[in-house]
Amino acid sequence: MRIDSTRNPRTLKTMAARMGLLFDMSRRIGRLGIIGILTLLSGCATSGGALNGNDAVEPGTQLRADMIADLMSVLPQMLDPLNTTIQLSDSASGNAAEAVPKLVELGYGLQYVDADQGSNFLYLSDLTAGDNPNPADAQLRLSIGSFELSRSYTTIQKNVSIDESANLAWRNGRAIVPAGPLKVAGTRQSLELTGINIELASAEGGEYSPGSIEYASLAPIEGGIPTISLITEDLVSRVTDAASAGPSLANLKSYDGGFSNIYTDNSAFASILDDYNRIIREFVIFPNDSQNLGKPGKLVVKKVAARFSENSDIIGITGCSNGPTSLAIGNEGLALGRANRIAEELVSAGISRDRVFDEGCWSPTTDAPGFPNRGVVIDLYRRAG
Amino acid sequence: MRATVRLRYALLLLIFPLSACQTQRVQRDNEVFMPRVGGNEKIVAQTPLNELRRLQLVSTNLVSALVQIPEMEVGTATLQVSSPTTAYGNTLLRALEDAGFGIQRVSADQGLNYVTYGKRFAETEAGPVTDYSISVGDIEVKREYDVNKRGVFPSSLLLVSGTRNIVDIELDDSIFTEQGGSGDTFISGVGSDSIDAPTTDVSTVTVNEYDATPIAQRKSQLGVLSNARHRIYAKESADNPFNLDRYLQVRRTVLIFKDKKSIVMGRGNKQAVRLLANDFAAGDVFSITACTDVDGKNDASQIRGIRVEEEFVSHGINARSVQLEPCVRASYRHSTDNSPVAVSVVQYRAP
Repeated sequence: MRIDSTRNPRTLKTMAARMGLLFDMSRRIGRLGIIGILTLLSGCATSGGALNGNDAVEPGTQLRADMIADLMSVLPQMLDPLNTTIQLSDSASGNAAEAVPKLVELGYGLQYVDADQGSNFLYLSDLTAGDNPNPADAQLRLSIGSFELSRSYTTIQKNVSIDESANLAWRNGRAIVPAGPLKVAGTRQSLELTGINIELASAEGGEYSPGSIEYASLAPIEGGIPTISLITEDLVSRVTDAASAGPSLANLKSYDGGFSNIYTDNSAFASILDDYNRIIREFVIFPNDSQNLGKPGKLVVKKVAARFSENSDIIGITGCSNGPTSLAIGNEGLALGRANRIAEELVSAGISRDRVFDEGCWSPTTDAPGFPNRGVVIDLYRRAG
Repeated sequence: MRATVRLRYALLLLIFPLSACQTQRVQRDNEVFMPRVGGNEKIVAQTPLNELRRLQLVSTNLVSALVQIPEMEVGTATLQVSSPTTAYGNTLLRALEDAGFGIQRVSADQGLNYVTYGKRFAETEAGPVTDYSISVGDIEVKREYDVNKRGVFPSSLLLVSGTRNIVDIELDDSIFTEQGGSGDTFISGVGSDSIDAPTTDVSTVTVNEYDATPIAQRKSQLGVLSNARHRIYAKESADNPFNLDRYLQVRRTVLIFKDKKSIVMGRGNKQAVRLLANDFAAGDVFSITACTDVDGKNDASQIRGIRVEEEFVSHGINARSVQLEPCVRASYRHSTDNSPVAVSVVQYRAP
């Protein structure tokens, strides 16, 4: 039997009640739907907002960019922006993204490379990363080609003790201040500080002094520099001859493992000196069986470094040890050590290592013509013409 | 009934925003079409994605030819550019960056290597023609292209003016076939407008349905341009080898790369190259041996050799003075061996 539900009053009542319930439910679901939509839309909007938030530069990023800008402020004095292209890579340059706007602003050409190609490849290292107890402090080192710039920074809050003439960039009431001099390596070029004009006077902070520049040595290279060997047949035969008369090694620089004994050979870098004239010759005398330079020796090296011209000069060092020695390293070791000691001092004074050529003279007797028995000859050469 | 309708609407309304959020996740990445510095974000954002992909192919095609012109001295040349104001300008500058040119932003048209470019549309007796061009100094590269529903395809030879060195330019036109087609053909090759230009090889390329490649698997712009750049170094050594028997060896060094896949030289190796380059005299030749595999074939090692050559070139040494040596059969290296690898450099001097 089929019941016509629409005609049965009980059924109709029940249906009406059900419809009412359904209507009520649908209204609720409708409301829930609208709330859901709004929530989802707000969720979408939130994610969009987050993207926009990322677009805005974070204060920490701004402060780091300020540090990099300060480091690079002297760069135009070292490398002419109009004629210089700097190479960068996403993988090998370090976290250098903040350096790019400043390089563009300074007018440098930029070359993006896939490894570390280029004579002006940029490395940016955060020397405090990892074990930094104070996140407000940072020490950055920027290397471009054979130059290095490094400086320590600390972040300060805006306060009254800061001189009004200080050119700090305030970011939400905070700014970075150099915690020491700008260290320049790989050049002796006279530079004028053009970045932040103050620095912390002491590690304790609170007091400030005018910003300064200090010349330093290049950071050590992990794994060292591959040895460059001299392999001229003529030289090889001469070294062989010399070896029969006494110990001798032939090489370009002492840090590469050895160098020629010019007591028995000609200078290993004679070919390099063809186009150069000697400007000055200085002698540093060492104590017997010693590689200690001492104050007078350091003064002589300073004197040579002060006359060094970045673009045209090279320095030749001849370390000598002639005569009897009681040291186990012998005359050869002593001569090499003395030459290397002078080279270190010159590099510490900011002269690029590739502008310093060292060699030695050693013999068991004290008859080396033109060379001291226990000293080093420093020659400053300038390109002719 | 009304209740059911409301219910359906509510569900639909719930689903729509969800799908919208889903769509947002697969957003296009405008950055790949823009130069790394100084791109015009607004213009790129306003340009349809398909159009950007087409412009990227055109830019890759033109710039890959440009880098193979010896006068361009890719690796050491710095090009001056103005900020781009068109989508084509953006994709073109990105291609120049990826090719390895140094890019210097200028406010007007300063510089010997100022880059100009253009897209021209013309109604000709052969129908509508769109050509794209790029010029650097006296050198210009241009080509006509057709756009259809599949993508963009060349419709002329790639014309180079301002140089006679066009014979060795190799075009990687497979970047166009990857779009797929229905048996259509296009002309491939390099030519010149000049009447005394050398003769070059010309071929036709057929684009089939099965050539279509998913976008993610297509050749990257960076890969195509790097290959073009490497080709010019490798070709120079292969075509004009020095007879080093007449030279004297002066210096030698061995550079160590971290592993067989690495082309990062590191500071130590770079410093060694700098020292050698400092003592370069006119007439000297640097000979680079990167491959010592016993089977005498190793493409990866040649890339390391090219990497070292690039380093010398960056110090101002002409690529012609740096010779990449073929493999010397000296050692056996298992394919799984990923220990550090050596590249030997010998400086030769004319007696």
